[in-house]
Amino acid sequence: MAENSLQLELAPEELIVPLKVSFGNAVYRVRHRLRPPAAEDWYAYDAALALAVEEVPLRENGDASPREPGYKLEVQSTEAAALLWERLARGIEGYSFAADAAWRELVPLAHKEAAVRALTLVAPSNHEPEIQKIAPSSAAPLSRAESRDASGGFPLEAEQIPVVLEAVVAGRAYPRLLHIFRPPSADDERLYRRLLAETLLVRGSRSARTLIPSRLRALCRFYDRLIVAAKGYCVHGQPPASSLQLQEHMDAWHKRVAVQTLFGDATETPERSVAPEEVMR
Amino acid sequence: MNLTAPDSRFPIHDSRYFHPGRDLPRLEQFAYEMLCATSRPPGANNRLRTAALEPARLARVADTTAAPPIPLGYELWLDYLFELEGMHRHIAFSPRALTAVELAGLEALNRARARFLREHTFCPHCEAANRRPARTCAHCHKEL
Repeated sequence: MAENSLQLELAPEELIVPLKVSFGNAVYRVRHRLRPPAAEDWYAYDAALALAVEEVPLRENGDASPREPGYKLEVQSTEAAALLWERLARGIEGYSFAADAAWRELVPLAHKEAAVRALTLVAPSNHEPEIQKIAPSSAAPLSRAESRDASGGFPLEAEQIPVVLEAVVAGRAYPRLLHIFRPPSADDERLYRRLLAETLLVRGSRSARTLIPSRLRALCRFYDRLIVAAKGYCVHGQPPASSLQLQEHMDAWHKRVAVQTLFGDATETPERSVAPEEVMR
Repeated sequence: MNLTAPDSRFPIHDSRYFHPGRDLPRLEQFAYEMLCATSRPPGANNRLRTAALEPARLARVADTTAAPPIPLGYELWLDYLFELEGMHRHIAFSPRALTAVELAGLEALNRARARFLREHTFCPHCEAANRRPARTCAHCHKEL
């Protein structure tokens, strides 16, 4: 049970999202009861984010240099969160309202947004030593994929690649969610690069406007194709028995972050994964 | 060859939007500009750094030396095509692996590169690219 308490359930009956709300000088603790999001819910949410980049010449902003463009990122995060919340909400607790009131419409938009944001709290683990550790209670030794080579060197012949995520779900932290992938092929790399490069331009827009289409469905396909095993998760209280079970039950948002980490751009910054190191003198 | 659209996620039948890979004339022009940008002499940066001491002058210098910006969508697609071209040199993809948009894009890169080579000459001393009429190298300042 102690070990299960560290495992994230992939097929819960319901998600309880606790929120702390400050209103005036009072603090309220409310809870939202949500249906666990299915892949289609996440796809709808990701599409509703409607990511767009508008290039604004700086001269319009009063800057003297007209050549360097400024970028304005547009994300419909509030609208997308409201859409997902409406799909998932089953009930609320800690609010006072009339019994016959339409509670869905009464919940403030900021609360809906916070509840949905709580579902997206998953990121690559920054605690690098965690990769080398193993749960003390586990009897199984670390496989090669789970741990770095004893020499600490870059594994040139890795057969499996570990990706460690950390997440907060329903107010509880899961610091070590391990996904083990088979190495992507050159074709996988190419398809991933293509996915990142594909955009749409708006015809006739005064300032160049680029739409970045939803990539979640494609990222999930990558995950399903490359995943071998995962640790730190359970399905109905049992560790996932196969990669098929992971494909079916793994949360789409976790799939997305795991795949982005696997290919080395989870932060979505142009930082290079390979860069010359400063010479120590 | 895969003649389908890049991905069904795109509203390709919506005339309000277009994929940058389908606008081949501009794609080729921007690819040429990217190649030219790589051959720009480092002096341009030095001049900018010097001018930074006087912001008004910096604005004037930036105005004349900086290349016009390439729209983000084209830049992302061109970055991918250059990377794809590099990969294609070492790894044989099956003909069905590339979409028609990618193949047309690679051909546009080839045309842009051919134009770049036609319009530039390489310095025998430092191998930097210089525009054809140049008599001295903009990088090492030696005679071409």
